[in-house]
Amino acid sequence: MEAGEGKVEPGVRIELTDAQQKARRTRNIAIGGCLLALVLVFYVATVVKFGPGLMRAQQQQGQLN
Amino acid sequence: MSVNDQIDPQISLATPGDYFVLMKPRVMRLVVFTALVGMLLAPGAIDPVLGFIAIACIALGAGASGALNMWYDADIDAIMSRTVNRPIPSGAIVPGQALNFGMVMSVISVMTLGLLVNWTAGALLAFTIFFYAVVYTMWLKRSTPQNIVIGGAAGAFPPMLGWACATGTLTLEGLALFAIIFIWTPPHFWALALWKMRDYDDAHVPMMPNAVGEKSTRNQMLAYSVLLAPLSSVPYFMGFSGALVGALSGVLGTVFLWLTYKVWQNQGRDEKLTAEKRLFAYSIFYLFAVFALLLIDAVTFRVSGTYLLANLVVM
Repeated sequence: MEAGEGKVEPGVRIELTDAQQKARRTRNIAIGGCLLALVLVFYVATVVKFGPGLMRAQQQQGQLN
Repeated sequence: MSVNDQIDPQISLATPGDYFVLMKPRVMRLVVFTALVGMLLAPGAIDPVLGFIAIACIALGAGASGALNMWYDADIDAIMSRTVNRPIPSGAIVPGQALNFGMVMSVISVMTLGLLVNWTAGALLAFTIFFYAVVYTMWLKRSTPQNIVIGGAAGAFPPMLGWACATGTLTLEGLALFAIIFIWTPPHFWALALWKMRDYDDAHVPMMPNAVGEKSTRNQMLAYSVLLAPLSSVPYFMGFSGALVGALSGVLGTVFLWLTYKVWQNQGRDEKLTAEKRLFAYSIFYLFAVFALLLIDAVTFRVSGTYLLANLVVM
């Protein structure tokens, strides 16, 4: 069955079993970890790609002053 | 009020581990390895951090295409003994979740590779995912016995991708690495198909042995192996590996040819299909060994400025 296919009456509260809650928690932690890793990757790559150029520009400006 | 009894199947019990399996980690391992070799063999320096990010993006892209493949092939995976325990047929992940996961991972891997490394590599990764998920999985696999011949290109792109990450271009050297895996794929897969023929037949997948016949398959395997033996040494002849690696790769290719010849000679007379199983096992070792040798040569060149036994002329 596809997710979301089952019909639940409005106002009915779904209580997850312990196993379902545990699975959801581990998935959430994994998604959070992946997003954090992606942020770190872009941060580090930005420093690596633009850092040397910025340092050079700063040095040149220092020499001009 | 709880309605758990009615809706249990829709509430996912999938764990991150199930999603990891969905990405075909064994294929991913080979992709990472061959892409790394391509990257290190390529001329010029690549920043180690960007190199690591590039390899991670390629691995993610390979995993994404694996997830899309499992989403589309869930029906036939449920029939074949080799694939019946995959996350979708086993019920761990529902198909829609696998599709979403594959699509999101595809976009993230391509965009990250393009933005942070270069867009030649990003475009090639996008094409590789498209080729594997759409051209191979959705079109060729169920429609022609040449499925893994043409579809094999998807598995052959990673070293080219690694090369493109380092240089930003597609060159003949990258194409040579592509050719080794491309020509290696048919005899590797058909060795497996010869002894798993029944499975493919049950799933109505037209693999060469059950669609065209075992004799023709064995003939074609021999033809591809004849091509593969000299191709194994092409990196040396093109000047991006040394004579020692060229010679050892040639030996590995010749052993491959010999084992395929045994498969061709037996023509299935051995009911246990020992020759086919031996060729399949060796084919995995062959690809690993050839690329491991190239990796050693690439590292040697980067450290010392020369390949192992750079040429055959002995001083």
